[in-house]
Amino acid sequence: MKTETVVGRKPTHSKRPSPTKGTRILITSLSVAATLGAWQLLARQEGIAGGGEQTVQAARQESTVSSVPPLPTLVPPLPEQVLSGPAENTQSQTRLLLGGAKPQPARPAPVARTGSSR
Amino acid sequence: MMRQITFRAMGCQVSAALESLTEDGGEELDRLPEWFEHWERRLSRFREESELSALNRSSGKWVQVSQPLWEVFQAAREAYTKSEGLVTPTGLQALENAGYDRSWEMREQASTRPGEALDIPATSLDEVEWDAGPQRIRLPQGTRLDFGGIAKGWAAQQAMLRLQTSGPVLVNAGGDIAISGLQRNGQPWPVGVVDPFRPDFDLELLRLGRSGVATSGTDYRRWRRGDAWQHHIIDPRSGRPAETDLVSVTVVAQTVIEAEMAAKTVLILGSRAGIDWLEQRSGLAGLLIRADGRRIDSACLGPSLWR
Repeated sequence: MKTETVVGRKPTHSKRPSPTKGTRILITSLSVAATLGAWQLLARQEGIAGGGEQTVQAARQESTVSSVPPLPTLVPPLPEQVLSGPAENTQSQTRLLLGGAKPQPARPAPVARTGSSR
Repeated sequence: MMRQITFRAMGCQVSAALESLTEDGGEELDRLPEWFEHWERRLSRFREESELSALNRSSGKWVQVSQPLWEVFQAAREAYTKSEGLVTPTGLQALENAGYDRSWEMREQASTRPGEALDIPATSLDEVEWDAGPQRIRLPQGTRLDFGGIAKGWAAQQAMLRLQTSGPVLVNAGGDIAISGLQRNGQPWPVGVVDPFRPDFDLELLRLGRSGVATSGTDYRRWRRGDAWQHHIIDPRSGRPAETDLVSVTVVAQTVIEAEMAAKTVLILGSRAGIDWLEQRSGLAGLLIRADGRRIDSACLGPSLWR
């Protein structure tokens, strides 16, 4: 005997809404609208939200940054980087300039030194 | 355990650092001054009684030489060939004519003697005869040898080879440095490159495993003769101190002898021809400092820099 089972089918309801249900929807819609309106008003007063405000805020930050001269390098270059003169090799030169702005890894003390024989 | 030793030999400061594998493994290090003294007795041109001085007094005759002198002579021949004749042990007469006629310590004590440097191109090393069987050498009449930096490099290399059985080791003979390999912790050895304009400071830190490094420069062993500055790097083509725009050249190579040869060759050639010469040879990396303060790195120096 063949058994047919339907899974997940919603029970059928009457398509005509009752008068009590229509009133409930109306009240809900009104309260949601009131809440949104109040929140927008508060937000405008405190200046923390809203598309137009965001644009103004961003423009202010940019002007502040452009009006301040570039900051000096916080990590001073090592004496040897300054006094050994610019490197002729372009790659080396780039590495030296970037090296001044990044935190330098700790260098060990040399075990030996090479130079003109003394 | 890291053991270190420092002393003076061959007219320069010698030092060594040994990471001993055992507690008593570093005892060999204490013999280093004795080894250097032995080699100096053979190889110094400043000692009247040295084997080299005896050979120089015997020009025109066949002379059987000791193993160290023979090995250094062969190393000098190889350097002569690789440098296309620019690094030669036959430039002693020119060096003395320029005023470097006694050890540097003695020179510093003596007053400067004015005089005329003579244009005497060095004798070609090809004119020196040698016989590998009995290890004999015959110098052309009037020719004398001075091994200079090649002897120091050879001594550093020999000492390193003897000491490396006790652990990772670095031997430094007046800036000519031989390194046996990485340290026990797998880290490279940190080696400073002296700033020729401020010798108390390093302008770079190298990271080196098994290799050799040497520096040739005109910044230290220099003196006035008449109105002109002289230095000890002789250009054998002119018989005079090399006219170069470089004040210092440091080279990293597979061996310290090769590094010594390459550094001197580049210094004599000057910055333009020197960097070309260096770039055309594999296994060599260099750091050149010009007299105007500019620095030139060879293309493959990067991996040797401590960053």
